[in-house]
Amino acid sequence: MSNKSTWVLPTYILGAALALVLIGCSGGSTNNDPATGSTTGGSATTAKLSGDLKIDGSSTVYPIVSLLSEDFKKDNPGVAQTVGKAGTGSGMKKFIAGEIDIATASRSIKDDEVKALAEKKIEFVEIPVAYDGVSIIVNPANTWATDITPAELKTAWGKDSTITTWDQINAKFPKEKITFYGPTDNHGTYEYFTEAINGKKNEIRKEYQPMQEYTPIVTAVAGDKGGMAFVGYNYYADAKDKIKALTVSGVGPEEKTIADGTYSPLSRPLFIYVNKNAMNTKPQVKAFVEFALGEKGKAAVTEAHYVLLGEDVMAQIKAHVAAGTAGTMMKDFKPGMKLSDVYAKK
Amino acid sequence: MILDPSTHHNLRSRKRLDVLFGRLCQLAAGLGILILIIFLVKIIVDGVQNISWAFIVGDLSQRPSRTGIWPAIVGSLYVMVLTALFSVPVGVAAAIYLEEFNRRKSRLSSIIQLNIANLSGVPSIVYGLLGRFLFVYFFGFKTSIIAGALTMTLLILPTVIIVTQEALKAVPQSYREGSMALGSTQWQSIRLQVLPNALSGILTGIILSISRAIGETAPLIVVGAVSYVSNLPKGLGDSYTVLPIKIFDWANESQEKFHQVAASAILVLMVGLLFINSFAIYFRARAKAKK
Repeated sequence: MSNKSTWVLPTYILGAALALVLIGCSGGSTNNDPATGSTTGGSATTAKLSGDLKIDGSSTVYPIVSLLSEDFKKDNPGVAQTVGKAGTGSGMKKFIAGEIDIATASRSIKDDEVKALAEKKIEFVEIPVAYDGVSIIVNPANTWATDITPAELKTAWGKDSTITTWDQINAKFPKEKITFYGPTDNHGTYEYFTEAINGKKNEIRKEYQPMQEYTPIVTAVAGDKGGMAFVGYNYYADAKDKIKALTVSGVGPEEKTIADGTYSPLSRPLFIYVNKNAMNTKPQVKAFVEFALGEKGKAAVTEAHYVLLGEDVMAQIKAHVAAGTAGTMMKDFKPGMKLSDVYAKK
Repeated sequence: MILDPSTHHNLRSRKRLDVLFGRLCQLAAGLGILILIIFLVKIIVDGVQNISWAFIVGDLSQRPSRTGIWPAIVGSLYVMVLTALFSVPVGVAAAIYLEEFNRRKSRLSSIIQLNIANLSGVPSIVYGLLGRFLFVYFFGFKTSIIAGALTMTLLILPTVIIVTQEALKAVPQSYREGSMALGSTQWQSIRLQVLPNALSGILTGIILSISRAIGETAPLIVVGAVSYVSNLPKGLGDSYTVLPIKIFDWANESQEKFHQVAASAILVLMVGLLFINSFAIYFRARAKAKK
């Protein structure tokens, strides 16, 4: 009977939806303006940068880069930055496909990734940004274990390991049930741990509970008296009230021991890989890299609960980046080696 | 059977069974509500202290006390509106064809019908992988809002078609016959008689489908929604993030404070979804009042 009213309702809804988008846009820009107005004072001399800056990769490095990106925005509100945390391997794939300007990695670049980049004629600059110490965590109710050696870790985590109780690791430990937790195989942390402990990347005992995210690993160990897991240092540092870390050959994961390399072989460098062409043609990428290598970079590393690289290594890295040296320095890097030695060899 | 006198003697036990069954149903309903209440209370207790205007319109941050969620809200709105724009016309048209114009039910259409029913049960991550191949790489939309919205469109399209079909089926056949007997064409009778009567059902279904799209995380991660955007998306080709992804990220952060932020974001998302669903309830009520 009322032909017109048939179409009134859908039109209203469509209109309302469009209005929402418009509100979204305008509301956003009014929200941005005061923020930029109040913070651009700091660096009035720098030219206004714009364009985009795409970063993706390791979820371990994400907190550092995300903090950096946020601080970079204060001086460069015109740059549209995006930071993802798809995982080191997935980030590298995007980097090889030329989709992103910077790939973050919790391990050094692999040979086949270098090869794939060469085929695509993509040159990259490698920049270590911080140290992390892969921490071996157990339940606080675990009173028997305080220290473990790399050899004992291999007994527990090695490819052919079938142990089910703690006394099989070390006869001094009681016959308590042991459960293994850790990150899934798309994590750089997994690759580093398996190489450092088991001698070969991606080789690990069959029975362990792999998890995509670290917080559930910490939660699982916090609720399992016989549990053992390996996680990045910041996950241990942020949850010291729920879990404890084992010392490895007498050395515990602490900022000092990770930085000076005595927490060995589980202290490792974290990286960002920058597309060299993007760095040369997109001023915002170059500016971001300089920003990351400066004081703000250090502040972000500390704030994200990672460990700073030493001043000497930083100087070497800065020189390396300033010279625009492409390729990886980490080809012959083995777990337990120091970055300063790697850079000194050059 | 019931009147058979031989069953009389167990009348009492049958009545007892009746009461028992009623209680069981009550329990089942109560359990669902109880879980919901526990969930709500927990989220509200954890999340409400962070909710403020500054939180809602603020930028994303890796510092839990300073973060806002505006870019994620805008991203979610973009995806929602675009998904609606793509899926509603296609879905409703497909349903109209299947229900109204395809009266003879050919074998082809029954195959299509079966496929649509199956597709509505495919896990969302599979649509994510499809979208990644189709929209991100093949059509070259990269990791943009449009790729995300098109993937979401694929995801909810089967549901939109099915609910629309159900709504059309509910319109009595006599309406169509009456209208056509008076000389209207088929399109006229659909437009003037069938659609107006099916409208509230169709809209309810669409709104519920779209609220599902807003809550999805996995397929959007696969098609490249990121975790941090410094600036709001300006166009359909820009990178974006959405509320459920931020909730997922924050819930997995190592710092405890982020878990509260996640709860706050859940509250915002839930209020948004309730708001949208209230439209669905309104339409249903209106349709009932009309009858």
